[in-house]
Amino acid sequence: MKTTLLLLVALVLLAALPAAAQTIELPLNLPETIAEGRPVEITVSACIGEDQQEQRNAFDAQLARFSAVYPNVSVTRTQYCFSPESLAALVAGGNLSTVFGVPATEYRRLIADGTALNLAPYFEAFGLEGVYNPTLMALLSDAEGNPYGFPEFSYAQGIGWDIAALTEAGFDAPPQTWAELGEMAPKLADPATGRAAFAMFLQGGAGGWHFTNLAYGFGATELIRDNGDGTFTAVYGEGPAVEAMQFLKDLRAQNALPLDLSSNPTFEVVDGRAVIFMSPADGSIGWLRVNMPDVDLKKYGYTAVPAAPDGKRYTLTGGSAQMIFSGATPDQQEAAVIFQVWRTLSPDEFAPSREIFQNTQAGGGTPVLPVYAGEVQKAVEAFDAQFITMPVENYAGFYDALNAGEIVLIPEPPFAQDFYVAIAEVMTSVLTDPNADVAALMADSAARFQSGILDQAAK
Amino acid sequence: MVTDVRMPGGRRLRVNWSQQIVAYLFLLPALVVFTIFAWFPIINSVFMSFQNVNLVDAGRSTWVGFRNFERMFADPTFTASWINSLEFTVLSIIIGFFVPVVVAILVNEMRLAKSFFRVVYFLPSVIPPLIGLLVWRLIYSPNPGGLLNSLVTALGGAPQQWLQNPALVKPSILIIMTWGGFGGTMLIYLATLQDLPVELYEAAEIDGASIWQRARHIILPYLRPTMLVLLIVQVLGLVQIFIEPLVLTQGGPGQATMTPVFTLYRKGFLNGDYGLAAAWSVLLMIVLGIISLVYLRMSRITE
Repeated sequence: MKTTLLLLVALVLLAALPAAAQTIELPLNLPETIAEGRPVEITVSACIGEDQQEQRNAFDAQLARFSAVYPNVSVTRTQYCFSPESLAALVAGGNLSTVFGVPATEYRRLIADGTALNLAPYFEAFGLEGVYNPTLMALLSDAEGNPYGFPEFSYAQGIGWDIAALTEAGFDAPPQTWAELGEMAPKLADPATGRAAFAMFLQGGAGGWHFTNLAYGFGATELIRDNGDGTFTAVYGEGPAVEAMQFLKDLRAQNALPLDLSSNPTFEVVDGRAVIFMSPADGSIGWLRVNMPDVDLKKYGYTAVPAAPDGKRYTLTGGSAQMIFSGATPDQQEAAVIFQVWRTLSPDEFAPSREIFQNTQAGGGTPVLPVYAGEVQKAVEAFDAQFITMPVENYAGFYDALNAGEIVLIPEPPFAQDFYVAIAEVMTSVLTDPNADVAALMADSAARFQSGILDQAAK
Repeated sequence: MVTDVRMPGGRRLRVNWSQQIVAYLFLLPALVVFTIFAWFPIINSVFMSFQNVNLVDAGRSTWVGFRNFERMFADPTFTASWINSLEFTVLSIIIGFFVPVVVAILVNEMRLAKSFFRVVYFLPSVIPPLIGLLVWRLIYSPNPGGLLNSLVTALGGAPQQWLQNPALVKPSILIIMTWGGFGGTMLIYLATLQDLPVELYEAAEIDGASIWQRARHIILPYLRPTMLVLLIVQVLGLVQIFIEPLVLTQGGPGQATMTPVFTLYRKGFLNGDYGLAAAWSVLLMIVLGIISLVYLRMSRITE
């Protein structure tokens, strides 16, 4: 805690200084010309709303500066917010932006199907190895370690809470383990008003994703086992995953979970229908900062996900990265890579890019994971400090866990999307049927997943 | 150039092609548009259903025979999705099919404010489906203070979990679909009733026939052919239920609202397994094709 306080004091002091670190010094080896001076046209996707004209202007100004540095390259902004539906059509039609943003859930797929360009030659040529957080780069790399994207931001799962409601219930800190949450739940829930103790996504793919975090919190180390010979085994039908599902059933029996399975956990807490929510910071308090500026964020705390039996806080990770479309011409690919490196890490563009980043849900002090490594990350933190508007003192627990190395990122299970749906089916059954036999449902789901998905894939 | 063309019934028709060519030229743009945006995707999806699809480079797609179909039949959601479609269809006929008929008869019987009620009942049809569903989510809120639950409680009932209870979720969704769709269907029935011979109706009224008797002996027999066709159209729509589970239930609780199109969407766009999704769509196309054939046959009967 002392370390965190010192860090926070340092952040506040930095914020008070007139932008102490305005730039970054990297041994970048960016070339002076692109494509040997041949005319090149590239497009860069940006998800900026029509009502955010200021951000659009800032983005366009950066594109113009790039064309000024490399006059043979014409860069155009394309308005594109990632969606899997439109991505398929854009890829099939060859119309995907040369530089495009991708959420972490899609990294593996776009690497495997060849949509994303292998960046290994560029990383070597431009001196980018070791610049980014190696944990994140592992998610953006293939089995041989070739990188396929530039990470933008990354989050860990965590829990937030209504500080006043927690205090009124007689608690001065959020739960440190899931068992502790189970003990607190009856005192936090209020059946008279319909207030739940704990809210998380409970259905669909998001529900499955959240449950996976919960299962690891109960001690699971794998849910779908990769046997290494092209076959897989569903192992979630017994053990910690079943305990995690039983935990949810018990919470439901205590009226400690929201009745509405489609509810958004953050809104449940903000609207007073729950006390604690589980959600990544960017999608909860970061989202509130950007989209509902009237919400008083000082009323909410945020910390790392409760610890598993071994004391570690296991979490799936998400976030986004910029990738380069492999369907682009070699000249376009070169220009696109150089543009992406130039806009984030060149001394002149570092500051404006970080300023643009502050407008996102991950900016402004949202507790997220470090994107860079070493000196680059230090420079980023020093620079970003001046833009902190969120009550970071309420997030001390998250930084404590992060600095103590307690937050452990877990990979998505094989056949993740199918698994999330399968486990969400069990979850909704358990939460809507008071007589549901958790162990039997989990075993049945695992058996059907084995024969219907895993065995079929192995053939 | 003049040729003889054999018509249905064996009759021969002399066609002057130099005159007809203009008509076909007018049709050409529509044919081109249909070829590009309808027929080509349909044929392409049939090819894709036999492939491991690579969208970046179609040349790198590989042929996998019936593998995608085998995976589809083995999928844990396959049986549930199609059984749900069947249940939705049966329930829809029970819950929703007669609503527009009844409303059309009642509106047709009105002597005052007929236009007003026509508009009122048609209004839900002009609300964008997504907006309508978000409003219905609030209505169906399972919390004690939810809109419908408040009403149920005020009437002495117990709050229900409309979208969370496997026994209630399908009827709840069908009520939404009926609400959103019955206005348009009602207008079709009303339009059909405008052709009902007035003298027949007036004679029944003079003879003292009640509204029920008029409906049973005059209106319903007159509407029967239209009802048959609209029934098939309704079934065609029900097999393709998608947005309701996507927005409201994500296929749950359990697999209670998993449908073929929702599963197809997940396989294609969330898993990126386009070959498997194409196999699902080919099967769906076959089922819809069969229903459409029935529809065409019904249409001919009504002509």
